[in-house]
Amino acid sequence: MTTANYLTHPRGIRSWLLTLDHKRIGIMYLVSTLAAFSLGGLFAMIVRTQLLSPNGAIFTVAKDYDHYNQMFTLHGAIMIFLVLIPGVPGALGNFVLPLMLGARDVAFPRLNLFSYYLYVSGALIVILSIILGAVDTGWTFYTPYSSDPDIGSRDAVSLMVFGIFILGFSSILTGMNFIVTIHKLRPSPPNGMTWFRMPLFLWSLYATAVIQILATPILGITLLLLIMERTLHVGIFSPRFGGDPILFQHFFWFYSHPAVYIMILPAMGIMSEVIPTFSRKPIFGYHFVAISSLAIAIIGFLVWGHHMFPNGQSTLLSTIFSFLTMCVAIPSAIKVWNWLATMYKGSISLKTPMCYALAFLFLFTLGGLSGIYLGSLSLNVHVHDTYFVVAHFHFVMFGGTLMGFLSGLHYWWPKMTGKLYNENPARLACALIFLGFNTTFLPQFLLGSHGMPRRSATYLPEFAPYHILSSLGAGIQLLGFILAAAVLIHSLFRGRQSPPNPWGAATLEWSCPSPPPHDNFSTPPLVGDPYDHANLVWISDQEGYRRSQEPEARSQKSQT
Amino acid sequence: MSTTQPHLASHFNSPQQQFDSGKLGIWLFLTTEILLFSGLFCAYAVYRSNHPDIFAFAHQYLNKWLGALNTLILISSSFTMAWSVRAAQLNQKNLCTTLLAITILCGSAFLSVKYIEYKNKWQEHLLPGPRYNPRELPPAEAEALDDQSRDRKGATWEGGAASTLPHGRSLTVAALIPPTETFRAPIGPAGLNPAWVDNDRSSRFSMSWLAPTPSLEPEPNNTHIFFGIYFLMTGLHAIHVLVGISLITWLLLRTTRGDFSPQYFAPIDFTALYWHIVDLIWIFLFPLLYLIGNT
Amino acid sequence: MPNPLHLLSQQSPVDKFFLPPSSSNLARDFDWGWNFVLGSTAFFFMIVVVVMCIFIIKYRRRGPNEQTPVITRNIPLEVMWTGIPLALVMAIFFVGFKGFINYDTPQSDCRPVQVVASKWTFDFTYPNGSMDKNLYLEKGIPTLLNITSSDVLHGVYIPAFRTQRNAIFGRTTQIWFIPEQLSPPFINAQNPGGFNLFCTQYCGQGHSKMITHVYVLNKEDYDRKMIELANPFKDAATGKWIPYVKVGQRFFNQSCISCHNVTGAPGSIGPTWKGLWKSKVTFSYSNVLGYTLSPSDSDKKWEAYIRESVLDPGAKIVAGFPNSMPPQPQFSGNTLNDEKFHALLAYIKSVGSLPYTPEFTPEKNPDLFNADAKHPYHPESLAAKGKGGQGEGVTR
Repeated sequence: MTTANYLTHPRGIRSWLLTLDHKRIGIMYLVSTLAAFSLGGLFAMIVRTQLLSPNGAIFTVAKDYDHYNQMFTLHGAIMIFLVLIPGVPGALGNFVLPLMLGARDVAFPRLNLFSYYLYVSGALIVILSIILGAVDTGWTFYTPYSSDPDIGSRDAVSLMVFGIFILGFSSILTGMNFIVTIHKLRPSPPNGMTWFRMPLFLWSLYATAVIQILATPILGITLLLLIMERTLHVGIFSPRFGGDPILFQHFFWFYSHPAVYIMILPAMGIMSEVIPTFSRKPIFGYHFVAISSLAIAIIGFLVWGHHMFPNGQSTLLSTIFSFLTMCVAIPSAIKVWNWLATMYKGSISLKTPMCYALAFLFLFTLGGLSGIYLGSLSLNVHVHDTYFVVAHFHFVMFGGTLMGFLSGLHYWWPKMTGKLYNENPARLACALIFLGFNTTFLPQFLLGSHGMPRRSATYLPEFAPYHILSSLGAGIQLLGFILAAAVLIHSLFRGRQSPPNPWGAATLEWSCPSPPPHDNFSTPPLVGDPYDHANLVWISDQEGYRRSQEPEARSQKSQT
Repeated sequence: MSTTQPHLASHFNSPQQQFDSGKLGIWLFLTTEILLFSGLFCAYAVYRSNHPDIFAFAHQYLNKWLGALNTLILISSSFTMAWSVRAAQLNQKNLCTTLLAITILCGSAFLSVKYIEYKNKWQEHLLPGPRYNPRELPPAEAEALDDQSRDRKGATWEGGAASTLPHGRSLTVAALIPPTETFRAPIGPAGLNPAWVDNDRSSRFSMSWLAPTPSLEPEPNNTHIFFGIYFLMTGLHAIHVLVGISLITWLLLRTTRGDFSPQYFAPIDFTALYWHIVDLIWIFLFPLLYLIGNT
Repeated sequence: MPNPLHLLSQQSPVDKFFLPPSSSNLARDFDWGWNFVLGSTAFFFMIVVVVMCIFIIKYRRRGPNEQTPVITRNIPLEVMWTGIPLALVMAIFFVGFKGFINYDTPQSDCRPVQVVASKWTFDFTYPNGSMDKNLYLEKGIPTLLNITSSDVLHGVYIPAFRTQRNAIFGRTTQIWFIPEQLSPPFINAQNPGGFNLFCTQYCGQGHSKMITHVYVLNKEDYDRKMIELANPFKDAATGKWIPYVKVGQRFFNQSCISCHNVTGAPGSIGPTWKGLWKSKVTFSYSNVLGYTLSPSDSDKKWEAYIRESVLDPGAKIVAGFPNSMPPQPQFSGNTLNDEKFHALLAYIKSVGSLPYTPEFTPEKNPDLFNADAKHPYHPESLAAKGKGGQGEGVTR
């Protein structure tokens, strides 16, 4: 193809670095988050290698345990702040949102680019803190260990915290941009994008953006206070100076629990696109799925105290938080049931994105159900701060968010790059990752319920079989990720040209060519039902789907 | 299209859509600003309810008249800012320029007063954390001190603070005078009212009855927390005022260049909203920090 | 006498797969709740996975243009799959709530044990004032742990009892339980027996080694252990009396070393003890007007100062140090504890700047070094004196 698309319009490195095009910014986010993911994965592999032996396989003497502590801190901080939080909204959201909405760009393109550079500078500061004497506080930065260098960590905590402070602002600006875009840039009626014609991915991005705006400033001020506490001893968090360390935990989890939903909601949105498309059937219970995203966003703000049941929080508070935690399980359950019902009597095609989506369904259900143990007051007391928690959040964050991200990446890859990848190796990678994931994290549930505390460089010999199995699983996952990366990179050079709509999806981004042109839609597109798959017919000489009727004709027909 | 609508970005369909987007964006941004401060307000609420004695004692070190002056200045600047938006809408360029200039002056005046207050705190060692170490200031002496003599004394204190002991604790005034005189307990702020201490507080805290000098309130533990919160809240607010002044200066330059018209005045409108929020936050800070305790 | 409760707490093989041995009253409730949640979550998980697998196989795509029925909503179905899980999680909430109230409400007749967590050890102080690094419990006796920390956050977690709490500097948190099973006995250092007690809250370099043991003993063994711990002046193994300085040094290592040092190295949280005795002290705060302390002051004044610093550390603060030390009540209250203070004082003197002559040498005090002689602080002598206090705790 010789027509200009966003990748070639214009050419040159400068045109990329200063671009205001949401698609290019999305691609830059994608490259950055994948690089950060590799770094975080490297730290994870070091952690798992260390735990091959009860007395440590790498750091064997007590004074080296600091290095292990730095490894898990870096793994956690990088994966959460550099990969999971910006991953789906920053990379896939930026690319897809205006296309799905039928807009030419996000509302504030300059702010979007600024937000990307904030992300890059924040990430560089975090990486700089690794070089200038890493941080060993854990990604939660609990005070007084993090706030009082005299009794706690003497490392470059302030620097890393400052980096994350900046990353927070990047997240806020992305969220602002998305909300304004969804409110103001929808194609206007007639045949416009009404709220309930929006694809569910947009609903989930909208709910995510609400959380980003309402929760991230609290993280900002908390981290600022932590830096002040560390440098000036202002006495807010550090008990030696009259402060209250539990206040930090309240502040921190007031952000970080909703942040969990910042991570998982966009992945749920991807599920709501992928599952209908590959079942060739409209989503079941559209309104329930859409409203449940908002319900998660709202109730998600009221449950932060469940991270603190045995931490000296009052019984009344714990009870309220536990009750609300049980309530927040319901919208997630509604989503799972609706996805299952969408597959009922469908035409299910096991393409790679669908394989990842099914893996998501399996792992997220398991992870979500394990959350019920943690939300229940008395059960939490036993498994709090053990490997059970580690397994739970890896199932939800890795099995949930990352599987969603990989599903979305494989789903929109032909649209982003204009290339089709090889299905079979990609499916094999998915299977390896799924297998490795379960081998890694299922034993950790047992470790936790038997009482193995988290963040330990060494462990008692009786835990050894589980840990060795877990490390083995990490190796299998590594193979899976290498294979997945190889398949995608191979497609860039050798992949077949992708048609505009290879999967038969009915949302707007598939109505423009792959890759899309620079200005997306020169005229506002005609918006139809986002899940009207029956209207799409397979054109075998193009190896893709096309609309058989234009939306307005469809809507008139359905009215009569 | 671009010739008729010079300020319309290509991805918007109409100036109205662009203006509405900007307006929604700035309101969302202001929400995050309020939430940023809310963390500090929350810390304030927690410590005020846990340690009311610290706040009642320490706020007397603040000069409420300077605080009131600053409140007045900021409210006036909000008025001139709002008026300048109206002037831009009515295409009154000169009036708009004047009003923006007045707003900048008011912002600078606010920061100057803040500077005077901060300098005083610095000299009195009313600082957060281990650096907190006020000297006693009898009321008569406090009134007699003029700015010049404060400066002279300040130099001595700063010299003292420069050298530090191990553990990061600064060498305080106490260390400069003979050890037998290094008692912290009877120190009270200049404006302490002995009658209030006798009537109200001694009944609530029976310990002050038994203290050797019941006419003077003993300093509560961890008084420095108040100053930690004071400096964080007013400091973050002052940074916002500084950003506001820079933005208004930029608007002033653009106004004199003739960028704005009744069709395009969004930057002035949005900056004005920001300026009002900064003002509003101060309106909460002033009573919370300066006007507590004495009833 | 076999306790009928033990029959209830026998673990099934399924329980053993998931959980460590169940050894307290809390554990019995917990295991019931755990099995309830395990059953219900496993049931829902199986539904999701089985339905998913059936759909994948039954409705697999047979052609690219296969037409599917348009089914977009079914309100009764939505209500059902919202309502049933909601009812179930509410039931789970209630089970957890009930267990938590039990966990959070100590019985009124609990035997209190003070726990101080510090980097990276636990100190347990028993009702008789004695102190140890291991937790000794009597089977069937409700026990209350009063937990605090001397530095960063720590956790006190006993998997066999299904209970944990964080240790927080400046606060006291509590857990209670009734131990219902004897722990595996101590054999040797490689095979220490007991139940594990972990620190769960990440606390730095030594976090992973911050593990100690919980020994649940029957009444006779527990009482014997308490007597052994209560008389730190006597070596339990050899029956020999130990010099005061050595005993004081042991207290220092147990309770004081996390904040003070005897090497004079800078950077400690509290003042160094090297050369402390009769040194020049400057206070940043004193609760007595005009109080000074100088090297020329009498032994009595110095002893009073040190005693006050141990029992009420906030009364006088040495310039340059924070007011962060918790009171050490294990050195007061009865004759034995008072003597423990003297042992500590002897140690402070021994690391002082002045030349120190030990008061308790075999020559001066042969009794102290004679295994058979009646030491004045031997529990039996104390009981005979009838001064009370320490006797109660020991023989309880």
